[in-house]
Amino acid sequence: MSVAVILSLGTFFLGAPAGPADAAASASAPATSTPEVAEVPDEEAPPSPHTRGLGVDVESVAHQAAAGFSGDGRWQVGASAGYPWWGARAQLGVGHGLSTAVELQSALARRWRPAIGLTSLWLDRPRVRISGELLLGWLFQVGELARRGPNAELRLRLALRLRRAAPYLMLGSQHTLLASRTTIEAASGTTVRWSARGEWTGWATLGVVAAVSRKWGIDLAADLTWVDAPATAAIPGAHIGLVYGGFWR
Amino acid sequence: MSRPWWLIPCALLGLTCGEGGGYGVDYDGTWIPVIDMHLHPGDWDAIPPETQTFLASRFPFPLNLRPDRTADQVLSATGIVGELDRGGVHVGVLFAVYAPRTVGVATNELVEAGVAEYPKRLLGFASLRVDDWASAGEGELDRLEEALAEPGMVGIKLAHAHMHFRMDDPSYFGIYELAGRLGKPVYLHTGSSSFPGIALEPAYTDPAYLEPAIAAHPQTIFILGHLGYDFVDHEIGELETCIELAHKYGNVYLEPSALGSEGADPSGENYPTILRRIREEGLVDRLIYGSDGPQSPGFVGEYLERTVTAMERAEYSADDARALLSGNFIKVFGAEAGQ
Ligand SMILES: [Zn+2]
Repeated sequence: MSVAVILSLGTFFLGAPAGPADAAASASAPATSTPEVAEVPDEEAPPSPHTRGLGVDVESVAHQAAAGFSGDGRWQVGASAGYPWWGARAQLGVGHGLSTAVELQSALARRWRPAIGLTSLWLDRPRVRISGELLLGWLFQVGELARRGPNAELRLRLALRLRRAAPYLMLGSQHTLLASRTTIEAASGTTVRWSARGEWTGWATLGVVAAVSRKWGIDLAADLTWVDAPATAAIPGAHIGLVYGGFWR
Repeated sequence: MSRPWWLIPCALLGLTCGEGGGYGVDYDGTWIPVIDMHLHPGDWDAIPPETQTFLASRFPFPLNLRPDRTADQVLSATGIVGELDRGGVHVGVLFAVYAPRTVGVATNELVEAGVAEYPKRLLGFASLRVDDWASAGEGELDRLEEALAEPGMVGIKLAHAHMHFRMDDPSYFGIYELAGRLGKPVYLHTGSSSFPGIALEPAYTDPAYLEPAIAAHPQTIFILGHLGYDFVDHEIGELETCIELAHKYGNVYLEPSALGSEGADPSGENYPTILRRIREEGLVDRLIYGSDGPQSPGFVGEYLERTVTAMERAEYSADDARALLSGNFIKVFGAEAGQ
């Protein structure tokens, strides 16, 4: 996908004016071609138990995806594809200010990390949210640079709430403990030595989740990851994803 | 050394006629064509696993996750010609390598096919296996001679350290005899190497051990690759021995590939120092340029830029630069061109 496409889509969603201009736009559009819009009229909003969670009214899944946090009683699933990162994630809001997650992350189908996570909302303002997340998982990489080991990641997300879009910045610090076996063949015989080392991966994703409807969102982002820093140089990537969600109670 | 005119490497004809085709470098206001005499085509699957890991670890993420794809994009004849284009290099020389225990295998046939695909851009050096020399040596020499009869195959590539045979072992001198008889120069890797599994003892890396072979084969041109550089400790290594041999023997040439790369010369001081020493010794007319690419995308052009910078710092004149970048190669490999 080209940068131009990302930018033009971003401009569309970010630049979509809220309020009067929005009303004027929809008023001038023919009724038959009115697209499904992000906001839902109040009278169609689900009753009381379903409005628990974030914000005063039912907000779109896109905003919860950007914050990495699902409000109490809400769930969502998402998948993304890009270069080099692919991913799948499910979120479940469990109340008490917490949300849980199950995640699978992959790069070029050679590096994999399944993980479970717990997210807490640290700042919840009408326009801004900040969340923190802890993920525990297992990293394995196949191929010439095969490696495996337990993995933990801390994430910080900053998400903005616009009417139809949620721009976000995610910063992550991923740590893996790798055990490696070295076989030394000498005249005196073969010795096997085990050693451990850490792999650190720094992560920054800058993107926007656009609200196609209340239940559907499209995620577009640039991924700046520094895998196995500082030993290895890294090339930036990008991904596109889809999120879908609803209520479970 | 005399060859029929139709064996003159097609690739050199354009250069000697002054056709630049947009390639070359501007040195001190003078346009200079460039020939890179040291390039490795490859086939990822023919590289031993430890070396695959070593190479993969040098690629950036995520290219390191699929090093096979990355390597094949760069190491094919088309990939290499693309790198020559990017780097402004007119002609490249592909090396065959038979070092199954270390850097791997790039067959004569692979090199011949690349040269046949791009006859105006690529030349080839053939090689041979030496690991079962006592019983297979004669057959290997025959195969080498056959490979050298193919169009565009202009020399022989050897790397004692990678191929595990001593530089001073006379049982291998048949290779130099053949080279002299056919008028095909021999390229020899000298100096240490950071590849896994290579022989680091002086008899495999120190060019001083080549002297008996050089002295016994005055009709054979010996090109001392890497100038005895110490790639393990990033030090100048056996340069003075190379200089001494070049003074003593007219059939010795010098090639400065790889030693000036960012990885091998982190301070950037060694490469200009080496080039300056060679100029001070009056041996610029023995220098033949090579990069040891393609390594990774962009390396071929990057090494050429580093060479130009090093030449400027070593106060090379435009004539010196021309001798190093293509003049001496044409003198050695295309002596009959235009006749
Ligand atoms: Zn080489």
